[in-house]
Amino acid sequence: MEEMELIERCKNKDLLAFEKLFSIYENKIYNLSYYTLKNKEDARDVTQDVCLKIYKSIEKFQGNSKISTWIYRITYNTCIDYLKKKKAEISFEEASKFEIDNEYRVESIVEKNEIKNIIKKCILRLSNDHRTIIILRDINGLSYQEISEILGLEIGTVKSRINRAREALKNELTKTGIRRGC
Amino acid sequence: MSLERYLNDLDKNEELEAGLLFELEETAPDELHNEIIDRMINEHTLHKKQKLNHKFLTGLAAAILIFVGARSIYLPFHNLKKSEETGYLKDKKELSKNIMEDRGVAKQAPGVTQYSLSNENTTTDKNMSSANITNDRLETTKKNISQATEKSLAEKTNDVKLQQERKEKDTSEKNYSYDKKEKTQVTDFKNNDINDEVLNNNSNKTSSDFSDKSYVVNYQLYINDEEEEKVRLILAGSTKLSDNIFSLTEEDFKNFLEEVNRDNIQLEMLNEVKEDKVVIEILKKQP
Repeated sequence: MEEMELIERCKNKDLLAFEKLFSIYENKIYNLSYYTLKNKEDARDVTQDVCLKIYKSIEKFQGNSKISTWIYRITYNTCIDYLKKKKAEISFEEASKFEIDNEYRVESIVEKNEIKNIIKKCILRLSNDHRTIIILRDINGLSYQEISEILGLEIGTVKSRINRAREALKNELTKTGIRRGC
Repeated sequence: MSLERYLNDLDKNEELEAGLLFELEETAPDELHNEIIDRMINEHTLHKKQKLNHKFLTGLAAAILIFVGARSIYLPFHNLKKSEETGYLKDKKELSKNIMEDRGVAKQAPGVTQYSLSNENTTTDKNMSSANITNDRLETTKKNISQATEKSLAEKTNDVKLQQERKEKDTSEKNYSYDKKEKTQVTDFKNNDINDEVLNNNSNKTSSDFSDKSYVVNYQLYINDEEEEKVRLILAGSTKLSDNIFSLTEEDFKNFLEEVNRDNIQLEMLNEVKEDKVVIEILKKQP
């Protein structure tokens, strides 16, 4: 109910309501933008653009889906447009710099943050399609239905793509030596 | 914990729960929120300004349309009224024709008329026509005034002359009657002839006074002040040639005679009536 009220206020161009809405979703927008574009500055620009798009087109939101799904879809489309504009494959500087020794074992990783960084960089090495679906499903925790709505795919396609993306991530993690029992 | 679980399940190819990697979520920079809000406020004000501009422009356009519409409706009526007031004529042919008529220069040099016809500036045409009209009016009024003054002066001089002549005539008639009594019958005939001549001369003399008015007095009427009112009432329907001279048809004259005889008013014939109209002159009896 609160979310619906917030949306109604946003439709009436209430700036305070928009501020509240952005405080809820700006992290999620930035997160998806960051993993899709692999660049913090680009993610920042895209997040701002997405928020302005939400402000301008909130009247068009019919309420047939969740507001989060609608926002993720806008974010994903904006990121795709951004990538098309750049055309060139954006290299992830931090990922390229990050070279993992094959003998780097889990046992040697003391800090949890280091595991986080390794997984993060393995995700960033995935293809665009696999990366996006891993972000939406495993990081953002969206349902198959929501992902199918955001990406405009059938639920079956979403499921199979998630499986393939996880396989690709497992391979990347194996390359890094982060495999339990190895 | 979730990360380890995720890695374990991934190794075992087990069904994974959604959102196990939530720890990998990136957090937006602190200043991003403020930047978003600033951009949104700018957009908001821009949107408002655009909306206001749009409203203003539509209002302005509507006002212009209304003004143009009202003017297009009002202007023909205004021009018509103005043309009626000033006598301004729109049609150039009519205008040039009027100018020619007013000036009386129908056969004027073609260059002049061509100028007035080919002149695009309608205001000069308008001024010319109005000036001509006023000039003509002034001339006609001047003529009328001069004619009226001449007429009144002539009447006054005629009255004075008539009074003088009447006096002279009275004295000459008296002398003539005395002479007539003393002379013989033969001479009477002669004298009659002479008398006729004298009368004719007299009549010619009186008629010569009015020769410029192309009528001859046939009868003279001698009346006093009391009789004057009656006579003037009788003569009211007849044509008045001057203050004291009237023109009557034969029938009217017969009626007039009856009226005059009834009141025993003296009427003296000067000339025979040769035309249909009889001219009578009113003279006041000497006290």
